[in-house]
Amino acid sequence: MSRYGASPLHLLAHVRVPAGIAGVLLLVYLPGITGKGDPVLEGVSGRTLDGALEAWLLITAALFAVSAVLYGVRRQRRA
Amino acid sequence: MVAHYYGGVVFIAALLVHLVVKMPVVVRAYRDRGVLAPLREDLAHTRPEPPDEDGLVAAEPAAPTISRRGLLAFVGAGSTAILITGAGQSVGGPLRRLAVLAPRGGDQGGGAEFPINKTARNAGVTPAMTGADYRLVLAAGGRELQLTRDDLLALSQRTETLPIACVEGWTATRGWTGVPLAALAAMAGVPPGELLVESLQPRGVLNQATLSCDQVADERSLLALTVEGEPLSLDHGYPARIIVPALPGVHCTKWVAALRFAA
Repeated sequence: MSRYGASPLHLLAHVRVPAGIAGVLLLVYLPGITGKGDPVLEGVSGRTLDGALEAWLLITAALFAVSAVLYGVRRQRRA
Repeated sequence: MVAHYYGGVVFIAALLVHLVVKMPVVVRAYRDRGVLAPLREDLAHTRPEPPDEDGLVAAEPAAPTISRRGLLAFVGAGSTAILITGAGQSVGGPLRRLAVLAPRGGDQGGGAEFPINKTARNAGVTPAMTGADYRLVLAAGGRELQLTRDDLLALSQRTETLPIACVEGWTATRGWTGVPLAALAAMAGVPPGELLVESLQPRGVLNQATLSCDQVADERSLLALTVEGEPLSLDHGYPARIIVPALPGVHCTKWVAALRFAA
C-alpha cells in the first residue's frame, strides 16, 4: 500500500473507480435516468421513474465523496 | 412461457459445456502461475501476461495503471452496485426500496400494494365492466353457470402465500385468498382438467390463458378475490384473478370473465 500511495496513479484510481461504477449504473438505467421511458412506463404500469436522475446524481456524488475521503486518508498516512 | 424454461435449460447446459471445454486452460494457468499468486502482486509488481499459443496476449502492452487484484475489485464493485440497485425488484420485501433506479424498484408500498404489470386502463378494463353486472362464467361440457362476486365470496375460501413472478423481472410474494380452481371444476361438474381462462380485457395477448390439468388440480391454485385481506384493486385484477404456483405472472390472468373447463 505504501508503494502504491507514493505513485501518481493513486489519484487516477480514486477518480477512475467511482466514475466507472457511476458509469455502469448510468448505462444500465439510462432510460429511467433520462426519463425517456417515462411515458411508456406510465401508460403500462401507472408509475414513472421521477427522481431516478436525482437518485443517480446522489449515488454518484456519494461514490466520489467516499473515494475522496479514502484518498485523503491514504495521503495522511503517507505523510 | 414454456420457451422460458427450455431457454433456461439450454443456457445452463451451454455454460456447463463451456466450463468443461475450458477447464484444461484453467488448470494449466493455475499450475504455471499459481492459483492466487497473481492477485498478491501490487501495482509495482504487476507484470504482463507471458505470450500464449493463441496469440491473444498483447505483444507490447503499455505500463500497467492498475494491479490485477485492483481490476478484480473494480469489476466486483461494479457488479455489486448493479446487484444492490437491481436485486430489490426481483426479491421484493424491504430490499425493493434499495432498487431506486430500477423500473419496478423503489417504494411501491407494501401489503396489498405491489408493482402493476398492466393497469386496468392500459388493458381497456373499466369499472363498469367489473361492477354490479359482473358475472363469472363457469363452463364445462356445454353447461354454463353464472356467478356474482358475492356468490364466489360465499364459497369455501382458501388462503395461500404465493409469489407473482413477472417476466419483467420483479417478484412480489403475497397472501392470496379465494376459491381453489379444483373446487370450481367440481362445481362445474367435471374432474380437474385443462382450463381456458378468459379475461374481461378486450384485447391483447394476455386476455386468455390455458392452464394444464396439473395446475388446476393443485390445491394451491386459486381464483383469488382478495390479497393480504383486502379486495383486489382494479389494477390487480378485481373482481377475480388467477394465482397458480410456479406460473409466470403474465399467465396469472387478471379480471377473469370466464373459466372454461375441458369436459
